[in-house]
Amino acid sequence: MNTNGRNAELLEVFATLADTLVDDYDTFELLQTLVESSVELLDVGAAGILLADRNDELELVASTSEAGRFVELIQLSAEEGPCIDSFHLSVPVVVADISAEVSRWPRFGELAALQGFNSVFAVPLRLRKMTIGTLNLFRMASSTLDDYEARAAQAMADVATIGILHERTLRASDAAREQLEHALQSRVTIEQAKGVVAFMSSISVEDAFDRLRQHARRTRQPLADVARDVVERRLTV
Amino acid sequence: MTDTFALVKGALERVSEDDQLVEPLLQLIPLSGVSVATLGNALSAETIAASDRQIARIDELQFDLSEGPCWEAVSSGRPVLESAIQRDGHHAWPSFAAAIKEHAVGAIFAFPLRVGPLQVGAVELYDTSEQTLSEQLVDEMMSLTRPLSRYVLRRTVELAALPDASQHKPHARRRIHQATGFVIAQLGLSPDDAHLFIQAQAYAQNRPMAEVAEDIIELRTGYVLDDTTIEDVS
Repeated sequence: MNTNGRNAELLEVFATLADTLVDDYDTFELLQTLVESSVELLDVGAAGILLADRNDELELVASTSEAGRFVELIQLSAEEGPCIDSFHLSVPVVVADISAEVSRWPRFGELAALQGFNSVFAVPLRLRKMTIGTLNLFRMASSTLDDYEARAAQAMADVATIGILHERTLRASDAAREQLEHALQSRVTIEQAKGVVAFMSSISVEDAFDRLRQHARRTRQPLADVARDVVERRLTV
Repeated sequence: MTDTFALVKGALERVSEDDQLVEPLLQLIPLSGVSVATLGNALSAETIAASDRQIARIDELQFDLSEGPCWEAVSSGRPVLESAIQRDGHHAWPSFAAAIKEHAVGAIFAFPLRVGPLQVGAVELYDTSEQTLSEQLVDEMMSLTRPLSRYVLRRTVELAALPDASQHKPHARRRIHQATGFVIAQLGLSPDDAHLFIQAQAYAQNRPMAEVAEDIIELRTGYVLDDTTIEDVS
């Protein structure tokens, strides 16, 4: 893609994100849009956002694939792998060739190879001195991020940070920590709702997630609200 | 629904201490005494609340002998109504029937406490003379076993400080939350109760919660509700 084409696309994505942030918005939908846009824009195969809980353990809050094996890979990278390094050091970590790092991260390397990923990039979600999580990008090819891509990735990570922490002012809570807790707790409810829908409709938990999202979009409600109604059995989707 | 029943049900839904259990129950069914015990294949046998020493002794006899009305109630999921316990023949629990002869007890009524297929305990009432319970009272008592079961399970899990989802790795935690959703849908429990249910199930089976969660999601273990009891269909 030429630079102009990329610029136009990037502009489009940020315009959409900015629009979202102006109004009362759904944090999860925003994060979901972000990871999906990053796949299109940065030529990666899959992407996910991890957020730190109160014990500084990273939890997946949005990803391009809800498939169990991808979720496992990204969670693993939050235990031993580039994502946890990026989080702790608060810097982007670029791994252009995962196979060269197998001795460092044996389990991560093995799982990544199985799923056909050869390079990975982790970008910290930062607000001043606080690091709240990471944006993680997985690419099939062995390559690095060029400067343009690296800047775009950091910009997307920044939007995610603002999106998560900005909601704080909307909810008038006084601590960023609380806002994070809120996002993580909402994610728990979303997981539970996936289980409810998967069982009720005899579909996979991944498909259940899609169905919840579709319902949220169709009815213009935040995904977290739809999930809460489902687990409290006020709503069937 | 009688007014007394509504009051008692409200009181039992708000119980926060074991001591608060007996009074509302005796208000609904005013017999000589009542107890609430943990019991069954999941939890160790223990009386957690008793209105007098006699009913505590009746529980204890059954725990020692591993037989009697409260065992039968919890394993069958149905009430056991012994209106004339000293006169009727009791082939199911001969040792207990023999032991109770030394006691001034005319009637025993035991009601099962279960959450899903999980055996949680029993409510037991006795009277010094022979008694019959109306069908309505039996029905009302059975419907009270739901909030009671939840209370008993919750306090047991809390007391035993069993590991919950937060003590697992994030990936396992995610699966536990998804499994919680399955249990919400299968048993009609609240998210908190469904989570407790998985905790207790793991405890009873002596397996990690994450493993129990996988079984639930993969439908190797499933739970269904019928109108009175809840059964494991695995």
